[in-house]
Amino acid sequence: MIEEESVLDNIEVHKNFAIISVNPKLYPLSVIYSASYWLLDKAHVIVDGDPDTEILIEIRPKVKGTDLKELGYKFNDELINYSVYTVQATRNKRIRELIVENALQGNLRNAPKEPVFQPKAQENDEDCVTCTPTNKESVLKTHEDPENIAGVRPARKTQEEFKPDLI
Amino acid sequence: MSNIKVDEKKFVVNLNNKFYTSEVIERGVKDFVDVAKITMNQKGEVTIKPKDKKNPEEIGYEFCDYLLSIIHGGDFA
Repeated sequence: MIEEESVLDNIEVHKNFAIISVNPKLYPLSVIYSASYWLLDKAHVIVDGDPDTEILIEIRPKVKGTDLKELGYKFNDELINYSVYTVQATRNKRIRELIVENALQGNLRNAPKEPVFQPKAQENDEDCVTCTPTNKESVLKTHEDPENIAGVRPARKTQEEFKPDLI
Repeated sequence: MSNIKVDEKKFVVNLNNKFYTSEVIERGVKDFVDVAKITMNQKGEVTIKPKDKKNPEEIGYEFCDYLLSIIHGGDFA
């Protein structure tokens, strides 16, 4: 039986390289770039032609003895693969947006009514502990605490009393 | 098709400016500065001269692949 070449064949095989012709009306440029990028593992790729009428993809395999025709067919498969992905992503776009919106609204519903932390935004506020001093000099102040409001525990032993234990 | 010329010292390729814009090529040149000396003339011919006696054909095709990855991954598509 004689194997007949397809009339739709878009692969032109040369000695060391092959040229794949792609119709940009069927496949958008982004899909062609994606399929070309996928091919970079197996071959060097150069894009040429006219983005309005015919795009030509030149492929040169990285490993000698690679079947150029087979590589071309794989490229064609990837064109369809990325096209389907793009169409599905466009169809599901609104659903994805709704899912994200719902998730974010869920977070807002569970959030406390008033913010837990209200930073004092006044830069010149003397009492503001968290504010970064900008116009005033940074000064550390100490206060007397006779009633031990800070709850500081006194040392159980003085440094001198510790020494015999260590020896 | 892409008018590639290779000799012992350099790799010359004529890239289609409808796909490979000057921004993309400039970005590629910047990233390949340690590997090769790359120049582009007004006709759009890119000449790649590798440093350290590396194979110009290999570096040249790697450069073209890199440009494609920039187009695919960046804001240039």
